[in-house]
Amino acid sequence: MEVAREREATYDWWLFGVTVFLILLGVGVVLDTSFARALQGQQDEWAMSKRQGMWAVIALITLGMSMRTPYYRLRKYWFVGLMIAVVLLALVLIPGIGTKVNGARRWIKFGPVLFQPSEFAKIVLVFCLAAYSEICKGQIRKFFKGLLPALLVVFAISVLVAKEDLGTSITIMTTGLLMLFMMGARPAHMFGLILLAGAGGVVAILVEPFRMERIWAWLDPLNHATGVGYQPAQGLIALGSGGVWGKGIGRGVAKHMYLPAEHTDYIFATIGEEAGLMGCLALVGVFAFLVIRGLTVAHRSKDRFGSLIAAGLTCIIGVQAMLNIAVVTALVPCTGVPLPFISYGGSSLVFTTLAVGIILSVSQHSDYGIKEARQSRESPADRRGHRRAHLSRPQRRPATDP
Amino acid sequence: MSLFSGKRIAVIGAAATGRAAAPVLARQGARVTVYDDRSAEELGEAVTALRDFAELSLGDPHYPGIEACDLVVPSPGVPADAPVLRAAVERGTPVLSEIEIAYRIARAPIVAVTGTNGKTTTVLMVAGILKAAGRETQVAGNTLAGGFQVPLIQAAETMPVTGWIVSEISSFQLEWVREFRPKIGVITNITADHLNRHGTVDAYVAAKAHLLDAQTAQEWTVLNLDNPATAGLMGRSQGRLLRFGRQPHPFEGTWPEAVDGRRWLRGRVDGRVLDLAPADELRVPGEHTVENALAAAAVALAAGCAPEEIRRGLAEFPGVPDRLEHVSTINGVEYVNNTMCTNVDAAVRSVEAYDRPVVLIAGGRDKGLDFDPLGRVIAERVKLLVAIGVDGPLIAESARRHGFDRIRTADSMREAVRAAAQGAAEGDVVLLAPACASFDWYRSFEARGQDFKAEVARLAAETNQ
Repeated sequence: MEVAREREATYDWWLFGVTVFLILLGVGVVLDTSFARALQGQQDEWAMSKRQGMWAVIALITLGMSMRTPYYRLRKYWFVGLMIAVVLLALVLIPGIGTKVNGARRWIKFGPVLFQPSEFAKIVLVFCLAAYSEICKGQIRKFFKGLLPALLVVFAISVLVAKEDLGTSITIMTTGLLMLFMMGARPAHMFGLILLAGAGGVVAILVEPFRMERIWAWLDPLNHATGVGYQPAQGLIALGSGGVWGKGIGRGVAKHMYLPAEHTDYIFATIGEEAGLMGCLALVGVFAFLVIRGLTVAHRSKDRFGSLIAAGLTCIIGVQAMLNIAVVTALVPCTGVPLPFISYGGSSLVFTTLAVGIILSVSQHSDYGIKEARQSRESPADRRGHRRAHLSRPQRRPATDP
Repeated sequence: MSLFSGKRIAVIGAAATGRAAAPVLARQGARVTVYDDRSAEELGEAVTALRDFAELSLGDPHYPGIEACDLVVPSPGVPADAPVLRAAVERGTPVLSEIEIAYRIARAPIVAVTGTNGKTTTVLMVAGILKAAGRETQVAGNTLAGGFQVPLIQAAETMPVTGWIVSEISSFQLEWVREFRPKIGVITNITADHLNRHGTVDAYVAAKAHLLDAQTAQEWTVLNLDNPATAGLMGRSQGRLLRFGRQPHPFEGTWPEAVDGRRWLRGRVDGRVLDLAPADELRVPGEHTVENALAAAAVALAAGCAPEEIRRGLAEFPGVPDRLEHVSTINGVEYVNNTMCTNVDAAVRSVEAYDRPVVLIAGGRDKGLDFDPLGRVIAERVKLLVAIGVDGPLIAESARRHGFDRIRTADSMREAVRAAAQGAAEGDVVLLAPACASFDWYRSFEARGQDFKAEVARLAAETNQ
């Protein structure tokens, strides 16, 4: 007798496709900018592209492996992961251990590989908050009993990261607040916290002088163009000179010595110059699509833990992308986060892809127990569920038929 | 926020129910511990998958840590008076069965069918009609759908609000319900079965009646007018009542009636009388099939199905395996497998279903029932009785008391089938309707059915040579 069965949980192939597309696009864009560097005589023209290509391969492998791993197996490690993240974040601040790149000490060097603990911490934090959602037994509406512990953790991580990487700190703070809101925290509490975070941001800026200068640069970049406003000004010029359709791929001028970080934090400006407004909108559209797919996975998941994981990881990617684009378009003063998938850099690429892999794992595995039960249903011991035990040991004899 | 979020829940029993409930509760955000006093080796592989999302406490009959749990979910296999459950009740810990939880999380409406006999057939008929009416339907509970058993809690989790869940419910599951409120509740009949578990008939009726206790005027109750026990429950139900019976009646519900010389199933709802389906379009013979069809039609009316849809659903219903299942015809003799028939009442009705001479194979492990009605029917209608199983002689004895002496005894299914074949002439029916449990010779009644079918096949092969 055939009866209807609801759709089983399956991989979200749209999300998979978008991610692979973005990874490959990233390699292509880096290829584009690497030529500029080569012409400057800095290095072999293929060097950056080869590195990015290698990272792309590693990312794709990571994607495949993490998709297939049932995400809920990681649930028990949330505390251990948090401890490791905190330790690594502390270590990276120590001059002997952490490495500076472009003036920011965010990396730990393992041989030829630069690893960024904040990337790891972002993912761990999402897991921790999702696990906390169950541990707190629905008390999240209460400030002291439910919300505060989670807030302290988010705050602690943000502070550890903020010294060297304000942009990622903002991403973490925003994602944390969004997740707490999704977990059911009171809007009144959240609003108060946003004000607090804003105040914290102001303090962070005042504390480091270079950030104050960046505020001036942001407010009026073109008048500061020869000083601290150089980068934002060049970014705006590059974007603007692209017009609606762009100068053409490969024909950008800014990357040739004018625009700093044209291949990392400011890569969006390079794209803007070469592909124009249309290219930028298309790219924004692709990121929007990725965020929509991620949130769809979260919505469809019947597992609350998986749902929160998917939503939180989507937030990380989405918020980071928005922040990067906002900086390049001078909507927000310089903080400097990479554009996910596109910016040159292996650590960011692999961890961002890992996040997508976990979201895909949620899309496939959130109905745990159902698929396995289907397979084991052939065993006759299961077919009739109602057997009353005689209380004699050890043999459990079924007392009756239905 | 789910009402199970963060709660510590003890699921007792790692069989089908426990294994279905644990992941569903984990997905609702609960911290689940699955208890079973069997050890990990006894339970095997199926249990290892549970470790990913639940704690396992196996092999310890003291259920360590259960005092700390906020909720206990026992499998139906755990007796209601088990010490662990009594202790939980005394502590004030809620004890809820799987179906109660299923009700709380379900979005789709539930059709719950219980009763001594006819549950499975009614469930499958209802599902067939709803499907014919284009509704998304999931069969759940003990009834197998397409070879799978889908526990109610699983169907409750997956079915959307536009679907229907049609589930067979046992009286064990009904022992621990509070708010369980099916949209349409059906009690097909209540007869004296399972006496060795429930002690008395009254306790048994009380258990089944839990099905309708929480219903309100928004829900429907379908009851059998002809069965004294279910008829007695009509006052207890607060739901909108639909009665089905063998004779026309003036109430809302269904009945069979001759219309223009043909026997039709008819129904009345909202004051209108409708012709639903002709009885001769049912593929499976017997009055009890007609009764099941009447119950199913009443459910369909409550669900808002049209008469054509009811007619189509019933006409397409192929019957249920192991219940009056046609196996084959050899030399004009029809072999029918009704191994599902594990009580006297079912056996009596299956014999009465045929107006051809019946050679009856019966016996197995007695459940403490009175075989007298069967003895009487055998004396009246049966051509030859082949007694099998440890307690076959009890049935033979009962038949002798009614003056019947055409009896043979067999020590194996092979012997029984051969003996039956010898005693049957062209046009007769050889019917396996044991009236007993199968556990003296077999692992399960399905295994008994399989053996019968194998022996019939062997006989067929030899006959054709």
